[in-house]
Amino acid sequence: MKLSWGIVIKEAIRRLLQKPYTWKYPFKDVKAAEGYRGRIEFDISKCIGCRLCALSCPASGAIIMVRDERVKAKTKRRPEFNLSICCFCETCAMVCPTKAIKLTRDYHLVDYKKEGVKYILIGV
Amino acid sequence: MTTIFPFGPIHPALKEPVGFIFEVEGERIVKAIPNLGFAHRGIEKLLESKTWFQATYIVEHICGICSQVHQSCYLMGVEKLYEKEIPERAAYIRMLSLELERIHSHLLWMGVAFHEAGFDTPFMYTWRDREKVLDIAEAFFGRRVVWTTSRPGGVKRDLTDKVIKMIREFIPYMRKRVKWYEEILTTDKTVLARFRNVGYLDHHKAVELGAVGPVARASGVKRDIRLEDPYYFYKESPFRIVLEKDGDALAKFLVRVKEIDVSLDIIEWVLDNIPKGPLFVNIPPMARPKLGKVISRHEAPRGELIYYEESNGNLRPYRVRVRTPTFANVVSIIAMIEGGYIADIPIVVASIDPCISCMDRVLIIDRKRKKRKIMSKDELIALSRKEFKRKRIKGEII
Amino acid sequence: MLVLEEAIKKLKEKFGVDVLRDKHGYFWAKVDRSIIIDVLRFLKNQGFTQLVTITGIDRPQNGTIELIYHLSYEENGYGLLNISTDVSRERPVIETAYFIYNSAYIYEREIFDLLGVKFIGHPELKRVLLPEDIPKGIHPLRKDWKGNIAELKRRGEKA
Repeated sequence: MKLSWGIVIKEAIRRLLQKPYTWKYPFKDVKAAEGYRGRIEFDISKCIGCRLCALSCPASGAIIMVRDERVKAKTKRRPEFNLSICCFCETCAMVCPTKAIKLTRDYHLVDYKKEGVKYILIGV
Repeated sequence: MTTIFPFGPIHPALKEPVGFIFEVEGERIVKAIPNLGFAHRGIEKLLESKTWFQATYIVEHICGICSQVHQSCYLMGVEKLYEKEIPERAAYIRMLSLELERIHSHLLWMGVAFHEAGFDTPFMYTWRDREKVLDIAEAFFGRRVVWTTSRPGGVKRDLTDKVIKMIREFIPYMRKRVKWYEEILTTDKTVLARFRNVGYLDHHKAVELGAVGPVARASGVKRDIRLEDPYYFYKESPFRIVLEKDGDALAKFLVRVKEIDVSLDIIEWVLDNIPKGPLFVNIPPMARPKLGKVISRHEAPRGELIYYEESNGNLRPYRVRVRTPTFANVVSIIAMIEGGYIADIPIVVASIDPCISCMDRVLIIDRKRKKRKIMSKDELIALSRKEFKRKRIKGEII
Repeated sequence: MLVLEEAIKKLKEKFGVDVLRDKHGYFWAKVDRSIIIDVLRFLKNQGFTQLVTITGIDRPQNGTIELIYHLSYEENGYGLLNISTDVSRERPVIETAYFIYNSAYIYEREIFDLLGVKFIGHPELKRVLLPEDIPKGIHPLRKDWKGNIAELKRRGEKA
């Protein structure tokens, strides 16, 4: 590539006038793409207490079964998710037979203060 | 009169912690001993207490840059043990994710290698090109790194029109960039001066020490698993092997840049020929495989990856053995470094593309004068640039 | 595949070793530990130039540790030849393969570290992956080791 002043000046001016490539988060909010694996959402009206989600979760301790009377099936138990251990692999949503678990596009899970973090344990 | 100095585990050349102990005479290195194990997490033992299904999602976390190749290699063995064959559409989508990963890994490495030699602008350019691959991955698989494409029996998500459009726009853009990078590497004087004749490994030694991946192909050794032991549909794809003769750091660079081109050909072929069909074959999470042992091999961006899996009919594996390509190249680093200069250490160690992570300091012990000096990353890079200036003044490079 | 066929024939003639092919296309052979080094030297001269890796498996119910040497060859055919041998669990000692295949340097250090097998003649047999100051006799990949080193040290017990 023959380097000449013409190329250098043209490139320099082009890059000076270009918009910066980085996104201005946190001053402007950025939406994740469609199908992003973010925060977990759980619908208790579809749960049947089969515990397949807890058995196939690779991170030990991310899903534990707790007793809850609102479950319609005979086994009165439903999962409880701990987002600080979860690795967001979507396995629980994949194996659930009634599709009660969903991963949303929300990724705002951290904050500067401890009180701001409301997503550590997801109940319902 | 040799000086012994320990290098690492905190040092500027690598992205992960690795230590060496060098014996130095003046400026030349006489002996090198590796000192590993700073990122050892005990994954082989951990997999003995998880089920075959759960291990799929643990195996991909062994490496962040080459995560899909681990998952695909592990699943190839598991599907042989369960005696099920994945549908064709799933194999094509896995090939697509593997080649996309190769492109992103080589672009990341190029940026880091340029940065070690002191050229920061190509570092920014390569990482900006890498952003386009990560955007494709976010739209297709759901995450920017550690994409979980597969499940035992197939893949999880299907190709959509939006993703196909993004990939088709990316291919011609990347071809132009590859041409530009190749032009820089073969004609630019400063780049040639810094990378040529550094870290030389000849053909005979590469065969004897068992080097794998681009390190071996840069010395003319024809080793590539996609050629020797083709898996999925690589036999029908337009794959061709890339070889160079020189064996120095510049040859390793050129091998990786040309491999991006080959990967783009394969991606285009996959999009043109992908058949319709189901995405997976059902393997339940609590099913048990048959007795037996299997071996599966894949070509990771850094070399040959081999998995040995043994089952005794239970829900949990009896033994899973992982041998990553960088582990096999450790012996070759020793052969490349001995006889070279201290200022070339960052480049030589970075040229094997180690899959380990980085840090910041070097401890130099001068035995004769009984003094210790700690050099930070900036100081070592400044030393590397001073060496370049000295070479230019002396007329060794034009 | 010519290199492999000749090697299989000669292995049967010279050493009396049977090479079996399994349903996935890989070749396995079982060799006694007293002749393993001669077999490896012979195979290297036949064209098996690369030692891909060495795998160690602990089998407490047989009282042995199995070592598998995976060899691949330079020709354009596929397949791995896997030679396995057994060492006893109480006294796991075997001769090193470093002088035949140089890449065994790093694999033998790893097997010594995690399983406790001693390789006679290795130039530098030290721990490579675990820290050097953990007590002797702790080899985590064995099946009867279920502990956590930091916790054990804190409680003052041995593994």
